[in-house]
Amino acid sequence: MKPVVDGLRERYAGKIEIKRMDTDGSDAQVAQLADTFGIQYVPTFVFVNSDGTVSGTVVGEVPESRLVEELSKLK
Amino acid sequence: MQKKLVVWIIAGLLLVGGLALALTPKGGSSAAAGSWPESRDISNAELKDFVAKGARLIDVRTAGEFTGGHIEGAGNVPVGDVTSKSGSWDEKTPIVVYCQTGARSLNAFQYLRTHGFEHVYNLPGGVSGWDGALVQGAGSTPAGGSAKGPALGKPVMYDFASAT
Repeated sequence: MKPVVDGLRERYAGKIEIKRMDTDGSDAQVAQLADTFGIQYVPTFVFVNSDGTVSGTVVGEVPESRLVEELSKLK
Repeated sequence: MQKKLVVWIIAGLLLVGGLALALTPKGGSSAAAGSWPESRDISNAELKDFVAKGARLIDVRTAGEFTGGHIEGAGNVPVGDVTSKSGSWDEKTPIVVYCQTGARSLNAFQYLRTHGFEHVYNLPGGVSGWDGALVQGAGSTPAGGSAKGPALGKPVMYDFASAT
């Protein structure tokens, strides 16, 4: 999924921040957010509006169009 | 003589049938507004009825299974998280739990029943025995919770992934 996500990051640069959260590392922020969002599997994509509300979640390897669909809903 | 006997048998059967009907509790299979039956297994029809009346519907399967198809209106709380998440749930709100085949939801059902929840219902056949439509995809908010991320001033997509 990495090339797909990298492509989306370029495409939405300046509009939507796309953050990679490495679940193998020991980053406390990643662990905290994974807990907050109830992440069970990787990859999981969580879409958060600018006010912090969760707009949607997508679990698993999905086509780029599925991610774009969720990205387009973000406010 | 034989004709009289038949008449008596029919009269007897009618009397027994009438008594049975009179003694059947009213509304035994559906929840009356404001009152809920005791915790137990329920049918597909009862699930729809209970949810329409305000019961919380919880899918205790994994997030992946949930995304693959879940009953409309359900929130996803994997069975392993029920213990921790249910601490913040209202014990008076009726809860309906289901999984794929009824095994995991039975565990959740028994846990909730013995931890103060007054009206807990289990769908014994799970999704495998569900006769209605399933909603595919994600975009669900975990039941009982409103997961909120940090407000960064602009929309964010978090990509939780393994480095390998």
